[in-house]
Amino acid sequence: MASSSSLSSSFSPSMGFDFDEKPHVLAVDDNSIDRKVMEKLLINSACKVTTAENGKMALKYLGLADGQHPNHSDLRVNMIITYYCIPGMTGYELLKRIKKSPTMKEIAVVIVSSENIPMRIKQRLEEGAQEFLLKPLQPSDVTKLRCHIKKLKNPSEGRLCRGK
Amino acid sequence: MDSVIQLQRQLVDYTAQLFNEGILDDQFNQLQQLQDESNPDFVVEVVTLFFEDSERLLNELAKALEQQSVDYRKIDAHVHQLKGSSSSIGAQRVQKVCIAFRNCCEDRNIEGCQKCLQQVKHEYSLVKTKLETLFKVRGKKGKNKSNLFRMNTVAQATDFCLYDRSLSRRFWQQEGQFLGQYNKVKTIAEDHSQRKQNGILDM
Repeated sequence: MASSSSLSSSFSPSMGFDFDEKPHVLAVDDNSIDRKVMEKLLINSACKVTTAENGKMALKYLGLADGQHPNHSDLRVNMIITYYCIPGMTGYELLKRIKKSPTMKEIAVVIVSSENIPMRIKQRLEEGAQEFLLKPLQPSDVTKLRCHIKKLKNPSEGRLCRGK
Repeated sequence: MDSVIQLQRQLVDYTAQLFNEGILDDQFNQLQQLQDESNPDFVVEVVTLFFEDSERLLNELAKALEQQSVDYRKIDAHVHQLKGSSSSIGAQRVQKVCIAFRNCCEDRNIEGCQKCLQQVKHEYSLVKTKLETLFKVRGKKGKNKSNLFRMNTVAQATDFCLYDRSLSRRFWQQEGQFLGQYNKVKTIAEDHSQRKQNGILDM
């Protein structure tokens, strides 16, 4: 349970997170406006947020880029939210890379798309996406995500990497 | 106090008009709901980003359509971006034109694309002007300017009124046309206050 804190928290203690144990979410989107909105939505939901503009940067942050060696570190990421249609590496490709990694495959990956294509949604969910959401994200979507994060017990560790 | 009411009224009227004309949609409300004391300029920041990004994209589109050999994939990618960001801030009419624009790209219809570019420029220019005006009204100096700056929905504007209920009643009742709306808006505003008081995140 959360310990009481004299600092004002923007979430109720029953959420199960300490002020210092905010879930860390990596948000990936090539659109700067959407990144900003997603970031605010998550911050308002008492998450720590790191943003990346594409899959390559996200993998680098996680220590999974080609040539990187995952190391002991204190990087903790609880969830990755990625937009689907990013040039260079789609959200789907990012999902696959993450699921292949022994260290990162347990991280929940959520895909966000502006297109409601049921076939695609079904496939991605089958292939390991935690959730598939439609843009623009609503606060109710973030509430759903927080429930997913609550269920996760051990955040995965990866290489500490500065920069977004 | 009257000048505050005046400005408030202007703000409410103006915002309502933008929604009625389909220039903005509910997504803009969502943006406003995200704004709070920790980031009181959030909406202005997002909208400014939108302006910068859109202008860049419109320039790229114009250039791409002038090429001898038109790269429809590139154009589609730009329009896709513009559609995404306009949708995120609630610029509904811009978004709609982007959808039509993408269809023209798919059909490799150069004239259609050029027409769409003109339309999207027009809609973008319209929403930009309207939003700039909105922020000017919001930023106007008044007695309680910090509250005024944050009053960007009908509910919030009435919320301010509800701090002084007699003011609120007089305000709405003096404006006969709003009488019907009064109860509806009052409910929204009271619900808003109630949720804030209960410490429930407005999500």
